[in-house]
Amino acid sequence: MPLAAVAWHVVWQRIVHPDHAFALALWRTIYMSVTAQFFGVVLGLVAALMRMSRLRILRLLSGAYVLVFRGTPVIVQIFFVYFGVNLLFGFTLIPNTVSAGPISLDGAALAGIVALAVNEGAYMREIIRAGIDAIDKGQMEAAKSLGMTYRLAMRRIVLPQAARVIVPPLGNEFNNMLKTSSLVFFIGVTELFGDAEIRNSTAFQPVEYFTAVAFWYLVLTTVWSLIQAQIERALARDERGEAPSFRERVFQAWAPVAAWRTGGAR
Amino acid sequence: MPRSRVAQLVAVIAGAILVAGLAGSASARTRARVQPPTEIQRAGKIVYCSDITYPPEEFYAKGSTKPAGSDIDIGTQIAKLMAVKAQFDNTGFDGIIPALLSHKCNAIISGMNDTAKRRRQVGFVDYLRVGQSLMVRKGNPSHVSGLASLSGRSVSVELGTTNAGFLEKENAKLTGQGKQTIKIVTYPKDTDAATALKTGRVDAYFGDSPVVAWYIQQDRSSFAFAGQPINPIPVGIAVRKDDAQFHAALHKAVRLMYRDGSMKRILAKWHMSAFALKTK
Repeated sequence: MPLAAVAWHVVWQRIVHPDHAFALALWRTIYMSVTAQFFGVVLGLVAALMRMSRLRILRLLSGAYVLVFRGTPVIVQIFFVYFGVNLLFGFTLIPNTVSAGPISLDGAALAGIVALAVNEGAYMREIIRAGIDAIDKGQMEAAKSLGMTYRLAMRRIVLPQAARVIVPPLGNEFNNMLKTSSLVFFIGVTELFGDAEIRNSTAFQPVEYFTAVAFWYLVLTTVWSLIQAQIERALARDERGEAPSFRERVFQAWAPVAAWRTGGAR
Repeated sequence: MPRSRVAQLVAVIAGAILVAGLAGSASARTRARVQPPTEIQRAGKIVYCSDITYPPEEFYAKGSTKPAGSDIDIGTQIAKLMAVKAQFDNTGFDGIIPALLSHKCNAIISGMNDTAKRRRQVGFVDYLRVGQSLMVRKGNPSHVSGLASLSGRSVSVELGTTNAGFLEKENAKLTGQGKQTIKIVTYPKDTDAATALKTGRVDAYFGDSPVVAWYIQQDRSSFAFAGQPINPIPVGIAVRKDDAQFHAALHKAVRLMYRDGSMKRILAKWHMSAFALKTK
């Protein structure tokens, strides 16, 4: 038997009438995840190309990067970027507030973005490498025989094809990123989960607040799965029909709910 | 092995356990100076929920995973008076009341301030009375001199503490006066809130006076007090409201500790004598 009845009006209120502090927290989760994922992909691409380099030193650096950042907890990496560097070397890697023109960013949020991006880059290197490996070697040879340089062939021939292989796992990675970004609360950034924790800490209604926050994460990940479907469609323009359409994707995402409603009969 | 032999064996073992249990509880009954509720006596231990990141009240001793601190000593002494063992379960402060309410422990001893709001959920046995203090970096580079000087400054606090709530009330006042608010930065762990001050991420740290005193004692080259302690609030051991028998037993044990000098000894050991309750 449950110990206390769930105060559904609290859950409902958090979902239907979110306040200003919540909106700010939601925005932080979104911009931290998006920028961290973006730079993660860039870092991953650079590291993947380094790994295929003829220079041994670049290959070694790329390997060491993956070894360290994929092999240690993100929370430790967040700690080192924001606190650890100051404690170890006595200088501030990331200032308390960063302003560039009209935009001013909280230093802790930036530290979170840096740590998440560097961590993500290590995973993305493996995904991008697998994507490039999946493209037939003949493609590069053919491009070169047409007189293209390695860089041009990579940019025009190999990477666009690899992108199609890379996008589905990248979608997984970003879905994870949306949720992993909650670890940045550890250094004092009130993002979506932190906001729920802070409310709960005075209201002592964990079931209500965590149910509501789970709903919001579900909204974010659902929106992302729709965007991902659009990206996949755009990349598969020449082979239309393979990638699911927008409507199909919505349908697939919520199919278990529909199945449950009809009692499993389809 | 035939069935009957197994049954026999089980019966013998069960009998032995029963006898041992009876003997144990019988001897415990003779030694207990404060009679615990039967449930605790049967378990042979009091389980406390404690957020073990709050020195000097509860923390892990340097290089060990054994809890230490004034609350740990007080909790252990209470258990000793009831002739049972004490066990401390490390529980995050923001989830500590739900943990008690869902029977994860018998009581909370975690430097918890006894407030009207919390009294709606749990019962308290007060055992200390502490104020709150502001801590700054040594040399006070941000020129923090007290509550009034915090407008427009950043202050770190631990999630779920009354200290965080107190600053929010200050902010409401500041807004009313048309002044800049305090930037309250909330950390899930108290030690991280202190690290934020040490690394210059915030202008001040706000916490219970004994905790501030401890941080300064541990790291004199980084930390210092700013201004006078404010707001003395009672600190209590929290129990479930329907646990009246245990509530009474704890009350009796705390009174006994004040009378026999063991409380005085424990507080002196942790440099917390100033926080003793005024007893008649």
